[in-house]
Amino acid sequence: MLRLASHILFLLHQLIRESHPRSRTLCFTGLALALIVLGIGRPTAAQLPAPDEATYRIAKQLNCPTCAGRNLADCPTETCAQWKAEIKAQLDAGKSAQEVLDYFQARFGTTVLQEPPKTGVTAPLWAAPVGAALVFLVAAGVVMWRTAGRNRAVSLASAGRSEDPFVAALEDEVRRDE
Amino acid sequence: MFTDLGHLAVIFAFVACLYAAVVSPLGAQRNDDRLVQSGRIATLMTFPLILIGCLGLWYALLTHDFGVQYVASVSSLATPVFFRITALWGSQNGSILFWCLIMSAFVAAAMLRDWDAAGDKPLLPYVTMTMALVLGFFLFLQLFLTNAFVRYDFPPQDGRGLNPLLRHPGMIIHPPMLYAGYTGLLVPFAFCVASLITRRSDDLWLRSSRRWTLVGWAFLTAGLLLGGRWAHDVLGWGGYWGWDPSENKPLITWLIATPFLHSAMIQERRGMFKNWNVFLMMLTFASMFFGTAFIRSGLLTSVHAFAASDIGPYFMGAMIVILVACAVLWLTRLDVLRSENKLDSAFSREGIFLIQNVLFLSTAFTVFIGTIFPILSEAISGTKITVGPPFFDQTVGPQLAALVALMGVAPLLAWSKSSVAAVGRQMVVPLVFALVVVAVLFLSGATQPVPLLLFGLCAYTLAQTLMEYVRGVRARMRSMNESAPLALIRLAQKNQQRYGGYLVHIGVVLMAIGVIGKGFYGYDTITTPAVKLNESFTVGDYTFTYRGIRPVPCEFNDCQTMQAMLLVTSAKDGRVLDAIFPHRDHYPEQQHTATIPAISGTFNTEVYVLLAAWEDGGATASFQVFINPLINWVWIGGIVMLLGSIVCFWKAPEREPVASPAVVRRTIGAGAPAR
Repeated sequence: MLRLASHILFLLHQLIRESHPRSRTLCFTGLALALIVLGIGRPTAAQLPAPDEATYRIAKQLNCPTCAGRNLADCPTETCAQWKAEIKAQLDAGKSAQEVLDYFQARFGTTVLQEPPKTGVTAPLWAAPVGAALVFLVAAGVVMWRTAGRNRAVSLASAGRSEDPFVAALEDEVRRDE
Repeated sequence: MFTDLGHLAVIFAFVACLYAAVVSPLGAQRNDDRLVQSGRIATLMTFPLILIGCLGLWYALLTHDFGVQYVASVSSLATPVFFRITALWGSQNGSILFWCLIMSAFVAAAMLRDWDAAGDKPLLPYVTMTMALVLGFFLFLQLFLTNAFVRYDFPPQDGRGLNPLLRHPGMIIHPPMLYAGYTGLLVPFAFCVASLITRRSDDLWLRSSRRWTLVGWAFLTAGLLLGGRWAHDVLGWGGYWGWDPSENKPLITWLIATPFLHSAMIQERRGMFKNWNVFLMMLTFASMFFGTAFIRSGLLTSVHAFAASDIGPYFMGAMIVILVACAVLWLTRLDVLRSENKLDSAFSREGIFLIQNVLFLSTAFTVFIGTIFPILSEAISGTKITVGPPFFDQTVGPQLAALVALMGVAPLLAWSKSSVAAVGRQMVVPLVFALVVVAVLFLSGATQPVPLLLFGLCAYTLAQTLMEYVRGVRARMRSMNESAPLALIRLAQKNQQRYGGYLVHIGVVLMAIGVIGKGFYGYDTITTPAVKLNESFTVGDYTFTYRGIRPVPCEFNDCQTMQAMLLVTSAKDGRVLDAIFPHRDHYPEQQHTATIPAISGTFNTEVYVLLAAWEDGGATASFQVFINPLINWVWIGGIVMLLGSIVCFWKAPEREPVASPAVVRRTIGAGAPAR
């Protein structure tokens, strides 16, 4: 959710940069509205991030080269401190968060990103779960369709026969258990 | 001396396994019960033998016998008695021995059951064989590759001490639980294999191993929960789950065993899905084996360690053998496993169970692919691509949400077929409840659509599950004239599996509430620039005042601990709430630093603070603060799940419900000559 919001903000930011003054005011209004909505949604997170908070946010999205399986922000090693300093330096030089992430990706490869991109080499990774879920569900659907088809008429005819079949069945079952 | 005796006992246990694996099927073929019984007793004996082995190693640990390499690697003179006992599973070699102990305990318990009374004696030889082969494989690993009894030629003066990460109660109980979960599932697998070998078409293997499956599942659940708690308390992740490979592996097994528990009910009730159940059981076992292979071979820390490790190739080889054997066994028995009934309607409990089954499997597949993708990508393109938590959150999350939704519908659907109108009527009350919950949440400021929707879903499923109890109790009160509490107890007694199962469902929903709270409303921050002495910083509703840092005595004298003190006050009214002491333990011997969090806040909002860094002897320090809303519901939900599973297996149902079609069918089936 937060990531989505930051993406939207980033897009808006890009728009503002390259736009006409009038549409710029429009964008600002939109931005303000978005901020208000987000602000209501996350009342406790409303403080403005300090500059280093921004470094921390970016570090959270990168992998650490020395701590296996942990993100850069959580890793206390010396190498990671250097990486964090690099992020801070680039932010101070006026780069946007995405530009910093792009820099790290370009320099160290996709493997530095916590979230593999949905395009390129890692596209199959993202497609696999969706594909599997769809294939499995369709297969289950086909099995049900083929076996259930011939009985459909019967089940429709018998539906709604009793006053409340569910409760009736449950009571039957309880009696049977005794 | 004792230790060498233990070593000898483990060798005997291995021989006993080999003997049983040969003699049992031989006895079955020659129809010689003496051979079968001999195999059974040999398998039974592995438990006392391996226990002697463990006692031997414990003796070495307790007497500081650093001549034994394993003892020197996991304990030192300073290690307290308690941790010297738990050091038995503190490292690879010992933990495989301990794994064998737990597995042999399950095996022995299965061998001790009253096979004649249970009426499943035809399965005995092959159950024995399967168990002996699997246990034998692990004993082979223990003896020939990871022997815990190997001695040094020149014993060192002192040992290295236990891995600091393992000095936590959660980690002490977590491995045994997980092992018990894994090995508990060996029992239904052995029954399944035996049923296939003897070409049985009935559900004897399911019924005979039902409680074992439930026990194994409960242990696996407990193991996962304790692992999460341990990560939360010791690893300084800020949460309970990091999608680490070693967490994912047991989760995958859990995600396959859970649909098995459900679809087994269909076979027992309706004689359907026989193929599917066999497939799921084999997949459960294979995933367990794969997970063990993965973790034991060191594959998880580094891909390259795999080739270097002694134990990995053996595991892979054994897994291929198991997969091939399972596939052959399954495919040659397809004719026997034909369904006895047709699916009457998709809108039935069988139908929705099928959907639930495939959703569980696709979730398991998602976790699997995310876990092994780094290895796959390295094998294919040469670069190891890391798959972090964002991938799992985005792909597994929606599937789990769909499963929670199914939990709110499945109980309403009757076996065979249901009418839409009847089911719709049962949904009214829970839906109204869910709408009220959503409205209240919205008015109190939670306006993000996705979590709001998910909370609504949880409210609906929770209400629907509770309604199941209400309906049952009411039905009993009406038909039996019982008071409400008595009706509830009787209801649960008469159908432990159903109402225990619903309790597990309630636990899942409570846990989901915690997961949503932490996932959508949780956030974290770091205090940079560093906080000066007696300065304050505010995160959310809390103000923290830094009161200094000091070295404190380490718990086991082998670390240097720096402990900070923070005063927690309410940001609104300045009331002092708490004083917390996050600390960092540095272990020079193991070159390891543990960042131990301090926890404060309220029941519903956990404040989790880590000491990130300090300078100038503590003149300034910086902290990492996690706000974890509702995270405590994860633990509560977990406890409820375990209680529910205990209700399920506490005492086997003494008799089957009379006159159910399944029983009639079974009785007829028993009369017919077995093929």
